[in-house]
Amino acid sequence: MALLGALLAGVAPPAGAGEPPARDQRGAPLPASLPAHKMVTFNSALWMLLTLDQGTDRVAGASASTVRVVTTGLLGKAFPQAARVPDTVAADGFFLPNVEAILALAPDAVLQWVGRNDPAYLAPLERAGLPVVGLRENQSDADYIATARLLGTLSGQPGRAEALVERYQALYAALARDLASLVGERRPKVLYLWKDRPLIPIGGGSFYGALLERSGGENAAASLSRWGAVTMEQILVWNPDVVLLFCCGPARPQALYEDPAWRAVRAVRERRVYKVPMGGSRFADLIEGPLFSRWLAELLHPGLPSRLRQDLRETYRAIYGLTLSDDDLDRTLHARANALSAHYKRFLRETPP
Amino acid sequence: MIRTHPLILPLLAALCVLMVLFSLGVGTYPVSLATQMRITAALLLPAPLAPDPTWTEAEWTAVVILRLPRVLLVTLAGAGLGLAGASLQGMLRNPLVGPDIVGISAGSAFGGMLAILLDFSSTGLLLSAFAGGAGALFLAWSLARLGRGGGVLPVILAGIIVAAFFTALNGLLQYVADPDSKLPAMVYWLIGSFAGSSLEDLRLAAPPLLIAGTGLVLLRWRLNLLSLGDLDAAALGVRVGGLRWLIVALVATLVASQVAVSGIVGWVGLVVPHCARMLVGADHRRLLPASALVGGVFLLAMDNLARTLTVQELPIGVLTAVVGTPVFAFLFWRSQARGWVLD
Repeated sequence: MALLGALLAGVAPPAGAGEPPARDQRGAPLPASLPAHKMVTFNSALWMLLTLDQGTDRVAGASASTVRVVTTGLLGKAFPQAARVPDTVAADGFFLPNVEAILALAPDAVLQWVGRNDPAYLAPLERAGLPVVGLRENQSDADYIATARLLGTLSGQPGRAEALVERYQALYAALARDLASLVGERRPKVLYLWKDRPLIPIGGGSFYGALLERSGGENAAASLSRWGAVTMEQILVWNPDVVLLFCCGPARPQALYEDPAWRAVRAVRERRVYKVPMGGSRFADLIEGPLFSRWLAELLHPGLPSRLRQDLRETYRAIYGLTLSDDDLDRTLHARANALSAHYKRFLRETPP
Repeated sequence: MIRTHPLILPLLAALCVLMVLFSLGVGTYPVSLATQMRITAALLLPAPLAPDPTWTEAEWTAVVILRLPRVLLVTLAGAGLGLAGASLQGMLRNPLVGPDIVGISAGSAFGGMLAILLDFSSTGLLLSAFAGGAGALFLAWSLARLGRGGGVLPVILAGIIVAAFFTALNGLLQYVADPDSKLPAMVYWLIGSFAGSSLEDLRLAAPPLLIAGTGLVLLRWRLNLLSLGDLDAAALGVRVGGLRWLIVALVATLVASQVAVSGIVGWVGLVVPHCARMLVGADHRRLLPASALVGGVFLLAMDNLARTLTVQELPIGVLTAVVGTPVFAFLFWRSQARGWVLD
């Protein structure tokens, strides 16, 4: 807390940031009394709330699935008290609200997805008269930034939110400069497998697909317009240069290297299959999105200077006041699972444990 | 009695072989017919592979590693489901029963999902699916015996009860499954797909499918006697109780083996025997082999569509349901006009 305070001391909303948002992301007015002191969330807003507030004091309840991401990753080291946040979902385990449990908590803001099964997820909260704040699913850079600013307003931390947005934009600008310096290098085709059984890749038009492009790659599955499984033959057709495996599933690069069905795929022949780091928020939000891009850019373009390990350590020290050990970094980067993959030595500690 | 041409069974067998060869050439990865034929010849002929083959590694992978085990597995599964349906319909003397109706599929699915949840090996999954299917059938049978007067209706009602029970348990397993590591595999497996078929799956499922299928074909004479009714069959010297249990065990083996490698593929066991009956009549000596062959051809056709209609693979269980329900509705309409042909 003190470190973040020092880092962000004196930060005022910069010019261009505009007025703090007065409406949520479906256009409804925000609750009258802000900042909110007791919030309930069902989605990944939890991670940003913890980051902005440096604690769980304002989080009255959350879905068990988002809390599990916190407790099993690096955020769990920063906020061990998150394990005690009450679960406020009903049967589906993700977004279906347990309205009675939420009413009992008497929150002054309930953060829920909009546009995702509204009749089941949003309507019961509104019928119960709860102060709902609608959040769009983050599909673009602009969405991430808008969500961060909205959460900054809700938690009374607009200056901190703006500083994090600026940091995010600065890191991506630096990466873009580094990538621009690689004259004449082609963009490798990257297949990001969200699930390996069945084979479900990240398709085009998605935020993660855009991240691959932003990190100096080309999405091999860009032609897919919807979520769904593909055949192994389709992967042979795409013949990606690099395959990424979702951070938190059971898939390991070794399994692909040993599977005869994958033998003809270029990424396997060149041993360029990687399990995505886990980080604190699955290497994907305003804080870790730039880290993901740096990690991937260094793998796709090994000529880039190697600084991911250092960036990761500095990010957690500056934002969470957390000193990551070598073991923490190895676990986060899936050092053991990725050790046999090409170019991964750059992310490993110099002296093996 | 329907009069059928004596060449129908050989023709069905030839069609099945042709469909297998055709299916080896169907897929997303482009492999020319000539290359496919050369690869197939290299597999069938005992000569050693040429040191410098005329195909690429990707073409070999597509035909031999991806398509061949899948095509063989689909053929065996389709044949098994056709046989299972025809045997159940004959034994229970009711054309409306199938492996789905009497609870075997739901029970096998429960066993398989439990195996996914508990990280069983592939063999463990097969055994667990078999235990689930056999357990469901045992429960249905025991429940049916409580019914007064015997007959077929209690068996069907008991099957519906048991299927509903296992369907509820399957929902519970999905609820407790880890959404990242277990749930997608469970859901996809539950709606039925041969997408992950491998040589290991074929090695696991082929022996029980072949043994149980052969067992049922060998019992085709006795099934004819059973379809006359219990009293007549007993009068002709058949030990009705023991024979029923044997048929039940063989059917459970077939369905569980299929469910273990591909999840629930509905409607095949219900619809295929009717199509076969239209071709060869109700005599089980011809109906059982015909159901197996029609089942193989039908499921191969559905799987070819599933993996080629769109870039993203369609679950075969969805396709068989979409095709199976109107076919069954047509058969129902036809039966209302003419009556079910049972003898």
